[in-house]
Amino acid sequence: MTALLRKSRDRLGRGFVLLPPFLWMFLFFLVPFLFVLKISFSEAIIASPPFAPLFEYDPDEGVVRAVLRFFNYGYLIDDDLYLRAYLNSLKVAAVSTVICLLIGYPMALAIARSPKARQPLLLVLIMLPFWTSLLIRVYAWIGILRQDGVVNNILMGLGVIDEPLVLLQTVFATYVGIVYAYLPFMILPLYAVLEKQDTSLLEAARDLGARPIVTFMSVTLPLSTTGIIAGSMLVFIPVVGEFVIPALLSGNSTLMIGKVLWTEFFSNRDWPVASAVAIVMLVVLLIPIMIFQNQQSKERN
Amino acid sequence: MPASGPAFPVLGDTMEDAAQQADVKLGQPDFIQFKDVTKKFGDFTAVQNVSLDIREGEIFCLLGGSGSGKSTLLRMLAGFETITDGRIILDGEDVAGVPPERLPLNMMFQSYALFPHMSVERNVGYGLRRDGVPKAEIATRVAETLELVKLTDFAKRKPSQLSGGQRQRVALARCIVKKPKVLLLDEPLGALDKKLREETQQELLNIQRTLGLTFIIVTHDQEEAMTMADRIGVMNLGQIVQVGPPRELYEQPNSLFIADFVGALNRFDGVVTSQVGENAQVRVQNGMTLKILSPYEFNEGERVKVTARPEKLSVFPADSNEAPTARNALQGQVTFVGYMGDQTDYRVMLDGGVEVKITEQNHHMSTKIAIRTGDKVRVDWPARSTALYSA
Repeated sequence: MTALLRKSRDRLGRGFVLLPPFLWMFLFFLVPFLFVLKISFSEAIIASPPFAPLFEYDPDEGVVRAVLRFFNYGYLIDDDLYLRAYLNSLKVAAVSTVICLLIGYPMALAIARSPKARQPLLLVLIMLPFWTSLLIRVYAWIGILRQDGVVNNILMGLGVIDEPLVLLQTVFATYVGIVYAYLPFMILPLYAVLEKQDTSLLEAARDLGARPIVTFMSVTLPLSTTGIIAGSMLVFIPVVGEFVIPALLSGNSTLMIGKVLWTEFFSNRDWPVASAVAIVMLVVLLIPIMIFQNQQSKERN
Repeated sequence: MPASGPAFPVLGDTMEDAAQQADVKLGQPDFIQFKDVTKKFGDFTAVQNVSLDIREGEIFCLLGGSGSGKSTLLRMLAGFETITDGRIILDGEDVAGVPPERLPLNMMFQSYALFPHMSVERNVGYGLRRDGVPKAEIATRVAETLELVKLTDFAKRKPSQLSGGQRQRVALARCIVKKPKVLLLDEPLGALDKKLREETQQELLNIQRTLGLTFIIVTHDQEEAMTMADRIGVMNLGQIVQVGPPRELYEQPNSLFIADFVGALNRFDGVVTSQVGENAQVRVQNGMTLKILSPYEFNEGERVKVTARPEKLSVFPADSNEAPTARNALQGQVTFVGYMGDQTDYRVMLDGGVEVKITEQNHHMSTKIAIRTGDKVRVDWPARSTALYSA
């Protein structure tokens, strides 16, 4: 009897702890998501809010009619602008992730292998940029990349080039901005995994005849897969929907879905189409997240 | 603690015994040479002027407390630490500057350092793959080695699915599959429980004998060193204090440090009152006089330390017969009796005010308790089982 009581009390306690996060997710993720989903089945009208209601009461017949309009989604398929924007966003995100990984991995490894006493300082240096607003940091890149900016001035001063290079409003600028902004998100999970690695494994590999590069490929790298996946997700997923950086640095050079979304919402005031764009983006992003989840549960088994 | 002091040969034949046994099974006497090796980490000297020769095929134990420099010495030999000063010669080749992957020796790590993402089989085959051994040969050699360490059934498991003892055997297999000349073992039994330790010790010895490997074992456990080693080098503060077979270290320690470090010890402070030939008399605390057989000359009035191992002492009821004159016989009262099954530990407060430890083997099957706490007893030991050190 007491055991039963204790069991139910335990269950109650567990529920109490789990409730706040569930409530949070419900209120701030699920409810807004349902709103967006609802709007995506609506139609743009000139009103406030600028979309047709989904449910209409018909007083003549005394029924509530729900009108689900799928043409917003059809529209996304008809106009290849959206498809190109999605594909390009995925491409930009994928390339940025790979660049972040190539730059971030050696940095994370260097921090993880540096003396224990110095690691906190190096980590703070990685996180320091977060203390300034992203907007200001991206503006700073405009100052660096523009025609009479720092890079061009230095190169011209050194006599490497005669005419200023066009750096701003190019694909190059997009990648510089994105990689710069998202690099810490790659480094931190990688560092967390690499720092935990038992250094005696590396010594064992050397002892058994592996040169340093072979040791890295056969021990360090495979044992950091979770960090690579976590870091890649943290970069890839937000970059797909990135708006600020391409808006400031890319000009018309890079078509990204975030910008399309912005235009639909604020310039065209077509909330239903914008909502449909957002919903499709969410579904597209769910795929890599599910792959990630799957990978993790496999690891646990 | 005085590190110098005359050695005291108690059983004169032990050294020859050990040497004779050794000659039968051992090869090249200077297979591994440490020549005046020093290692400094910044201002800290971890290893200081160590010179040591290790024979081919021998089991050599580096014994010492934590921070004694034993692991650093091993890591220098394995190529993981640079040598600040001096030379290490392995089979005629200087190891300085040779990366660990090119040294013909393998190390079994204290943590075992098994690759967690590889199966047992792949762990064991790792070294062979690095050496470019053909696939078919890798498969057979891995299978043979797994059979040797009795892990054939576990070949496909991951290290996380193994017990501590099994992991230890994978670590061993991973080394010996490469057929190294020398196997370095860093606290090989440290993580195992007592029963498993004893079994594993035996297994290690069998494998060493079968393969004719040279073993260098680093340990802080003197019992482990005593049971496994052909010779032990005791390290303290970065220096080798004494090198010798276990028996020599135990019975003829060259210093009070060794005597105290290897095995338990009763100690007395005293002054030499007379010495006629080898027969010395020492007055210790509270006016007790001990008889000691010492081959070394001490001056009358010289301050000395007297030591006697607990198992050399015997306890008798106080009213039993007087001991022969060559023995020490002191009266006292039992303060503690610890029955261990195979042996009994006693503590006796001597009438002179010094407490001594005594260990007696329980030779006979008996449930009768002969001596209890509080009993008046006579503690008795031969003069030749007592050692003298200059204070």
